Amino acid sequence: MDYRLQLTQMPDYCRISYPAMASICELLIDTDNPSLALELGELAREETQRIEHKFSRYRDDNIVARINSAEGQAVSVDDETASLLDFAETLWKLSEGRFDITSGVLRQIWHFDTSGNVPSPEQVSALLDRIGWAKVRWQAPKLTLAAGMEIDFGGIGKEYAVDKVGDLLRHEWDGALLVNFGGDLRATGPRQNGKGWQIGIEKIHNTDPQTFIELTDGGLATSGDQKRFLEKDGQRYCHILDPRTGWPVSNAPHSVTTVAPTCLQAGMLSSLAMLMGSDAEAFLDEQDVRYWSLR
Amino acid sequence: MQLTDKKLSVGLALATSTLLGTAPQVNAEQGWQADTAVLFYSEADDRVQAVEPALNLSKTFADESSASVRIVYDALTGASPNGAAVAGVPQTFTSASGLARLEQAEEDDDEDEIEEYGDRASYTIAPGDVPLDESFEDTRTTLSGSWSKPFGNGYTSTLGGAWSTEGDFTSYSVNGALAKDFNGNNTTLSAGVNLEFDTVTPNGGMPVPLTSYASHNTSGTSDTKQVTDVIAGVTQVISRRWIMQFNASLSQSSGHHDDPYKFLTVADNGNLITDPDNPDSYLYLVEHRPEDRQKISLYWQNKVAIGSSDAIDIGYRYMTDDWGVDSSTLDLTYHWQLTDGLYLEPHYRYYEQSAADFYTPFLQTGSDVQISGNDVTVLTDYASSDPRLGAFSANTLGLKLGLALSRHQEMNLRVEQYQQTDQNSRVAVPAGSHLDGQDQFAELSATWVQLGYSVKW
Amino acid sequence: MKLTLLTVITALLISGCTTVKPWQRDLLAKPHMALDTDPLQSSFDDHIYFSKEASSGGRGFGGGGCGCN
Repeated sequence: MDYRLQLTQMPDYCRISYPAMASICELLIDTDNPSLALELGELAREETQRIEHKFSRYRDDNIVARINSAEGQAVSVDDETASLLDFAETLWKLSEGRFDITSGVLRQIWHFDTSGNVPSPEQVSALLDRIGWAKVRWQAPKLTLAAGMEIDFGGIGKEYAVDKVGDLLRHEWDGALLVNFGGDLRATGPRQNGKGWQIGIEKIHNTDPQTFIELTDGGLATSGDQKRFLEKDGQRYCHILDPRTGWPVSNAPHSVTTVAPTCLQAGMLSSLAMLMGSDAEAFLDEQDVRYWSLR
Repeated sequence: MQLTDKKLSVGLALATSTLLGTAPQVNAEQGWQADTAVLFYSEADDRVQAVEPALNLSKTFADESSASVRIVYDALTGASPNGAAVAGVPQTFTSASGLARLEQAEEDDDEDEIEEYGDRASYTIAPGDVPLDESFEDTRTTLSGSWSKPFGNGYTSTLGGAWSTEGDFTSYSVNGALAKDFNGNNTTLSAGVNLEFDTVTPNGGMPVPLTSYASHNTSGTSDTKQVTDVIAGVTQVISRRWIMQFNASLSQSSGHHDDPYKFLTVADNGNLITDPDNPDSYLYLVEHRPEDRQKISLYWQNKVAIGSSDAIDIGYRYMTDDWGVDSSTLDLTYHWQLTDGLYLEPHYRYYEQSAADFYTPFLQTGSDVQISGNDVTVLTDYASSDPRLGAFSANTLGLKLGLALSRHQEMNLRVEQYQQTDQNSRVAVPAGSHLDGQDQFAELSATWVQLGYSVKW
Repeated sequence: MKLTLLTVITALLISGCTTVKPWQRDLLAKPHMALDTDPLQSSFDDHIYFSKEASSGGRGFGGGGCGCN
């Protein structure tokens, strides 16, 4: 994947794609003007890369790296990071601890490579000491993590980028577009023909009927376990880990897709639904959210 | 384990909007909208003509509150029925407003005015013609504003006011309303109040009702009326395609209701009689309406989406008041979206009303008026021959064309044709008399054209 | 009698309605589905009918009276 940006002109829309955030980022733009699409595509790519560079845990030169290597010292953060931290804190409270950006260290013992390597209970409890937003001191603009703790924006980074790119492009141009970062979507519409964007929901089995939805305005996100899991002794451990226990959630659906006004909301709701395990559907019904779940 | 509380998605929506720096509801559009239109109105038979430009400016704010202001200017010319009956003999009238203008012109020694109004102060109507007063020229300006704000848990409050002025009439009003959404915004209950205060200052002074028109007796220069309206309504989304509204309103109007420029013919066995106090003129009496009027209206509107971009609008209104008028209105519009940016809206309206209790095409000696020698005694409390208070039905047929000029601009063109049909019971008059064989109701026929333009930014 | 009938019809319809979810409001959100699609037009027509007929209003409040009725 060496290419930087690709523009495809379709009969009634233009498609821009570029690799970022460990997937292909796609923009569908309701125009037949390729220069406009290119302009918008470049803006989108710039913003996506900006967010990725700033909040990726794989880099050693950004604010996340500074926070994670602070060894118990307070770190002053900028406004955008502060907003994200506020958001993460609110989500932690609303979800009663199920959503926790300090739970990233669990990946040190859980490797979802479809092998049979499941960590031992001792390994898990040892790691629990280094997890939990309750142990964080967050008083804007200063963030203090206990030594050994880390923050990881992986659970919200992509959805955040989708919404930021969507809002940025909408500010620049008032036509309809669809932002799609590997299945996390945001649509702004309606299109010139009055309709929305046709989105196909991924099938588990090829024999399943293809579900299409028409999204005019709003976000769509999917949380699922299809591709990443461990199997041991006939038990499938999905990759959704409950930060309160350090163990995967049991009886979660195979996947949950939700629709909400923004991609962030859709993403949070689908993740939280997965974390509710067997109560995923009941939870979403109660939240009055449009969703599909596959079990 | 119980995270089954709607509070979460609400909290999430709020947290997201804070993070993204946008208004919580994605569909909240901030911005301005300007609507401007001009109406050309024309009645058949050289009656009223009017040109009315209007401008409406509104803004929606981030917190979903909105404000709007409107200005309308109305220029009317032409002729309006003066209330006298169509007769088989010529009739000459001296208009009070025309006289007033003439007097003013003579005082000012304005020769051009004198020449212009000299003819119009006094006018003669040929036999068989509807008596129309042509010294009717007026301009009206209306300014209104409104402010609406959502608050609390699904409430919206609205506050507004209006001011209108024309040569002989001024009106002020204030209104307020409260609405609440239920059922996930599928149901809205609303209630409102409107208070209006009007002052009428007729040209030539305030005529004394039920006295001789030709005498031009006046008492004072102005009078007032107050109107209080209360309205309650429910709007209900019935299904994905169908929304319905039902409103009930009550109106109480107190004060001066007479039209100061209208009068009635007094007929004796179908013949016009000479005014005892003004031998050059026939006897006409200035009209008089009750000082109170109470109206009840029930209004029901349905909007149904047809296909993916068409819609039909069906509305019905029933009104009844204590003047004896009952009316029914049926309004149908079909929105036909031809292409993305072009639509047609054919429109049909049916209206019928019964006559007011005191409506009569003319007064009759013996029953309404007693004449003995030079004394004229009016036996009836109220009387008016204003066609607006008579019994008639009316059909309106119209077509509107809308064209999108860009994503944010639209222009439209609309034509409507209105035709009234007399439904009054005919007052019998002896054969060969002045009023025999003459129309007793002037059916109005009018056309109007609207040209409009809207822009959002 | 008419009032009773109207109230009954409305009550029946309301009780028989399905709750329409926010994502189902696509059609209702279209501008031509608003109850008053062109306020200036309504204002012109209301004024014309108010000055030529004995009835007025029903939909809501107009902006200002005029000396025409």
